[in-house]
Amino acid sequence: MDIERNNAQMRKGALELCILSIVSREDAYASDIIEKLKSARLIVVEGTLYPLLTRLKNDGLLSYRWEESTQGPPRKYYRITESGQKVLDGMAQDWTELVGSVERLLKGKAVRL
Amino acid sequence: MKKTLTISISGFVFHVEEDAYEKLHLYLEAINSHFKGFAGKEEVISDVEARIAEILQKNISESKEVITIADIEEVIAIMGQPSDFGMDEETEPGAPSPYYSALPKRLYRDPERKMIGGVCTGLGSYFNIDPVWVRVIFLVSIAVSGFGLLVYIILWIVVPEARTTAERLEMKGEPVTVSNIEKNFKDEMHDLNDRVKDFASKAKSTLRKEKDEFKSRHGDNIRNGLSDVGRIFLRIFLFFLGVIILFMGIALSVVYLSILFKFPVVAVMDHAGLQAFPLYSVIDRIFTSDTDIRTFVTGLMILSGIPLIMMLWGGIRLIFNIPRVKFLAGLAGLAWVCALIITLIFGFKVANSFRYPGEYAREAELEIVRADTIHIVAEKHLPPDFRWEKSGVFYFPEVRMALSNDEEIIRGIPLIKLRNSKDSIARIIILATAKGAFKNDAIENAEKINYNWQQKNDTLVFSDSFILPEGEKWRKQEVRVEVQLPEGTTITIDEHLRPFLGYHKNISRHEKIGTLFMMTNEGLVKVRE
Repeated sequence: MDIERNNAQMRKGALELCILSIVSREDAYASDIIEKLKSARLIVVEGTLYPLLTRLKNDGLLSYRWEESTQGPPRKYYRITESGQKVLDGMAQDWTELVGSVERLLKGKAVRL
Repeated sequence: MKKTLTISISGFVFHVEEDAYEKLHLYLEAINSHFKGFAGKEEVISDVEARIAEILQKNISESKEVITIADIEEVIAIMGQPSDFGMDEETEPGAPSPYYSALPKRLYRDPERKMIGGVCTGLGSYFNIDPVWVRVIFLVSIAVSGFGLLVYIILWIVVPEARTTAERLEMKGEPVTVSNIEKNFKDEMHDLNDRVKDFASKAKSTLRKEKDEFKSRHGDNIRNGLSDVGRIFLRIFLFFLGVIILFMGIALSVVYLSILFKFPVVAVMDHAGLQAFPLYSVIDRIFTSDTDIRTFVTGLMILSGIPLIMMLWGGIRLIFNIPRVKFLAGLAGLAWVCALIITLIFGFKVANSFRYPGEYAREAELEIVRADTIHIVAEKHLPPDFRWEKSGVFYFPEVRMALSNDEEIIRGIPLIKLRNSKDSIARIIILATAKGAFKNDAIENAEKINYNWQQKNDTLVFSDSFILPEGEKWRKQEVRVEVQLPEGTTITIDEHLRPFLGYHKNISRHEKIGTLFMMTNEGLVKVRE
């Protein structure tokens, strides 16, 4: 019944991991992150991203600097912090383990079916 | 041709078509309320606005300077609906997004269709009736008693003008009608029902899974559901309370205004029933200076006016659900306390001028041939049909002082007593008493009292009233006349003088004309009727 909601929550957990991972590679502006997430079909609209970025920043995992833009207002460029990097590493490891176990389980189930 | 508005987003100026502005404004409002309670709300919104500014900036060029509704739709497509913004683990799925819910209706003044202040058109919009009827009601109420004018002015001051498009939309919003309230109520009940069911099923699963988290969350929902129904009941209750308070306020205001401007009347109970006398004349004759009078009256007006205005305002607020105006109650309270202090200070000042009693006595011996009958008569200054009990006259029986409206002087009633003379000498003692701030003042006030009497052969003529010199203030001035007569003197008493006679054992108020009295060692006795 709550499939949609479970989906959304699963996606949300994964999103945080993905954002951290994108920002850890190079400093990024919200639109850059969006582009990458969109192409990975993780999100559809930009609005989803802003509260997540704010929360990650408030948790001390991300920091940002202002950069002038030729088009429109100055942009926030996000950068991963040290503790952000640690969290990312931990999360990535957990994720790999989780995905591994879930896949093994799903495969096993499929076989049994 | 379309009207455009100039707006700034994130420090950039855009010219936006009116409909596009409305859409954008509603969108931002919806996002705003979506993030209600989220700690990083301000930041998220400024991020979102910055991004919107960037998208809009991309869409304008030298050949296209104005933002249209299509641009805003593009922005919304890129940014997504508020429900897509996440952070919604707190909100129930399927809960209506504020973006789609009808705008709450609020009372505004309508500057575009106004004749004076836009109050009538605003009320018309609020109740969804033609403003012409509201105007008619106001005009009728002003013509009948004038209170409508007061209500209009209060509304003019406190109801905000619908300046922005969004405010104009709010002004027109869904009309508030009885059926609407009913509909809202039904919706709420339905919603509550669902929530209870939901809660029940969730509670079962919660028990099974023993997840405390669920419990607290849905406990909140139940509370919210109940409070929704409660809110509607409360709103209806407050509406009727407002109507009652408004009507009471209006009734009291009419009385108040009539006291101040129309029939300045103060009522006092005495043995003759309810007496009325003009407020201003009384104040005039008690207070020392014009400045004192003005200050006291102003204080009195504020003292009684503020609660009335607050009452009217409170009623209007409850009826139209107008949010409280900051500092209004505080300011009103402050002004009220100031007025109270002013009236108290001047009240004490007046009371102080009644502090000390003083008296001034005059004595005169009378030449009386023993065999004579003394006729005691009244010299009439008051109109023949004058009665102290008449309304329009300031009359305190116990202080025997009157002030008539047509005369600018204060007249007081003398108190006349007839006694036997211990030493066989006929004499008259006039004892004038008054009050004052100091002993000397009091004596001076007593001296100033003007009382006339004369002897014409065997006739004693007493004025039916004493006079205070012009400009003299009322300081509880009193005149007692004591007529001492040797024993054996026979007396007749003029009927006009009867009301001024003090208590005498053998004389009644309704003594027949021509009754003959004699002074004895036990006072007056009736000799012949």
